Amino acid sequence: MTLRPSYPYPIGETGSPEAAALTGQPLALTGATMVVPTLEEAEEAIGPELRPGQGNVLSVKALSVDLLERSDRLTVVREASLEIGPREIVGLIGESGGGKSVFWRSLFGLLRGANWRVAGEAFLMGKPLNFTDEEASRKSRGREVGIVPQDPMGSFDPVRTIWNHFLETAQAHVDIPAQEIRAMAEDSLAKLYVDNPGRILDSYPFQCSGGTLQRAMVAISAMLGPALLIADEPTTSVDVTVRLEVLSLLKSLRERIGTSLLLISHDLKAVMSVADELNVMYGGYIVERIKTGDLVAGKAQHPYAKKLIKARPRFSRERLESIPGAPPSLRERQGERCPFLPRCDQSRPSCSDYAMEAFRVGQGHFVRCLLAKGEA
Amino acid sequence: MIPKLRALPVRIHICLGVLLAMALASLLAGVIAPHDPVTIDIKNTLAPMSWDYPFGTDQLGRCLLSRCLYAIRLTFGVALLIALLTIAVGSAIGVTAAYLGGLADQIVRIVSDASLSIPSMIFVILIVGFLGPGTENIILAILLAQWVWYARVARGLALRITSYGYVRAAKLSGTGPVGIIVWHIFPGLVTQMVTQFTLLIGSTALSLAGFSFLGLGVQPPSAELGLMISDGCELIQTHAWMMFWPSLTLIIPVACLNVIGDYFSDYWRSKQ
Repeated sequence: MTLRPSYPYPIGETGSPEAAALTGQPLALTGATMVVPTLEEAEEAIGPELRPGQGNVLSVKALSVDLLERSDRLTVVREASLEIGPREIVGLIGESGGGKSVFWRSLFGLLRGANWRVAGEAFLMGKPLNFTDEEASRKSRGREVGIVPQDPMGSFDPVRTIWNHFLETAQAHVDIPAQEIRAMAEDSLAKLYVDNPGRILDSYPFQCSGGTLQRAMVAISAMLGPALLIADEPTTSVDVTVRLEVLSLLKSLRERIGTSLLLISHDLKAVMSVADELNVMYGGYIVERIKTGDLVAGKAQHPYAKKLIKARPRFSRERLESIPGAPPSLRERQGERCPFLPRCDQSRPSCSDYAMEAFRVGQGHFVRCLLAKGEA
Repeated sequence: MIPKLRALPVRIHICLGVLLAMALASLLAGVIAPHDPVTIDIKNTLAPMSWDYPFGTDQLGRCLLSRCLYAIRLTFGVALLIALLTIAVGSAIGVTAAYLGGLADQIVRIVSDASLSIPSMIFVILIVGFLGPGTENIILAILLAQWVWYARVARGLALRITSYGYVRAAKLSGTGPVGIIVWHIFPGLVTQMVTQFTLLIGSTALSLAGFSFLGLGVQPPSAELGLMISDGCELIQTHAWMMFWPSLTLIIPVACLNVIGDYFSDYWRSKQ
């Protein structure tokens, strides 16, 4: 059985790179001879003109998330736009409290409590996302979008086998016999380089290592063939050696499973090693959107992004450069002005009137800073 | 999770043995009871203990042994039913409130706080006062007075389990509320609820007998321990065994259940 996400494009011959790329269909889970195209092939098949437009797996346009607190209306995320193409790995980085988690959680109905107001548009594979319809959000989670939980050890119920967790997720979405789910589960695990998936499925979480559980977690998220995986701080709760493993695992997802990936982290170094594109978030704004290559080449323009790069730990005797001050609290960063202004060492007088519009400074490179205005 | 039978301490073996023997005896009451429990024999009232009437007879000439055997069945059978219902209703409401949160949780909390502020004895008398005495009504009344405690226990546990990573992970992968409650939250309640249940049977049997003693519960001529104690109470100065035997029949199983319940609650606490 082949699970295929609903995609607003004609489906070509199954198995060809074009078809796979167009339908986001490398998700054929039980087809053993599925040819998974490389990124280049996929890009070629899609054509460059489709990339920035509507061919995206996820496209978010001017998403704002407000928190109602008694009589106040606090904006947590303001006019965030994001695009993730097929098989693209996009990183979202920024400090804690910057709005990263609120941003993605708002898309899939995961904000807790009724005090949130989400405005803007978002499309998952061309289909508009409804932020308020809880049932629709629930149905898309796990099926159209896979969300990889943060903590591999805690994310498994200790009294149930790994297999039960696969079964649970599958049964929440599709009505197919257990044997087929079993095959899908084994297949999904095997794709993530798990030897002997059958044995892993029958063991309990405490019988598995952290790395195996991490793989199992990703395998569950990817089992039903989502077009997009979201990993929120996947490297935070693991030690350094496992972190490396997790990152290479996430990187291999694109080839092995064929999904796009939204990687959310405060760890710039980790994200840079994996992502194609980076979105730097500060104070509720996505202040810079830049290709990883450009970032490495030193083309970042937003002062915060530049500082962030300088603040990566290096092997040197020099003192690590840090940004003075602290990130603004939610109340401090209300109103349409630059949240980084108080900490910025390149600020000009005109900055205080700047209403945070974004400037395009290059191919797929946007900056929300007055400094970038002249270079558009 | 569950200790092996052989590994249990001796006192648990004894208690289990006593309970088993009494359960068997009462279940087979129809076969082993020497006399009919409700047949009145005016010629043979208040007979002392003899081979024919091992526990003697009461003021209406009914065999006390036979009545005790039938009474265990009634008292503990009804107590078992009430305890089961209490635990089921309590955990269902507690878990639902904890999981849904918000308004549902508030309502459950207000209702449970309000009913906890009335002493449960008074509460039961109040309900029976409205509905009239009788077996069904006392079941309902005790259930209404007791579920709150277990709803609170279940709510607390469920709140803790809801914050666990695996519940969050299940939500992320699209499992619905029913799935999460059935798959993840209920299994976490089982050990606690089994312990509570064991202790609850005993205390419910006591309060059921208590209310029957007061004339609010099971009505004569049924053989019920509370009723029998009440009958014996009037003649305690001249015919003490009429109260002694049913009291003993009530105390022994309750004590056994308490010992077992205590042991399991300690056992599971030490396991965590």
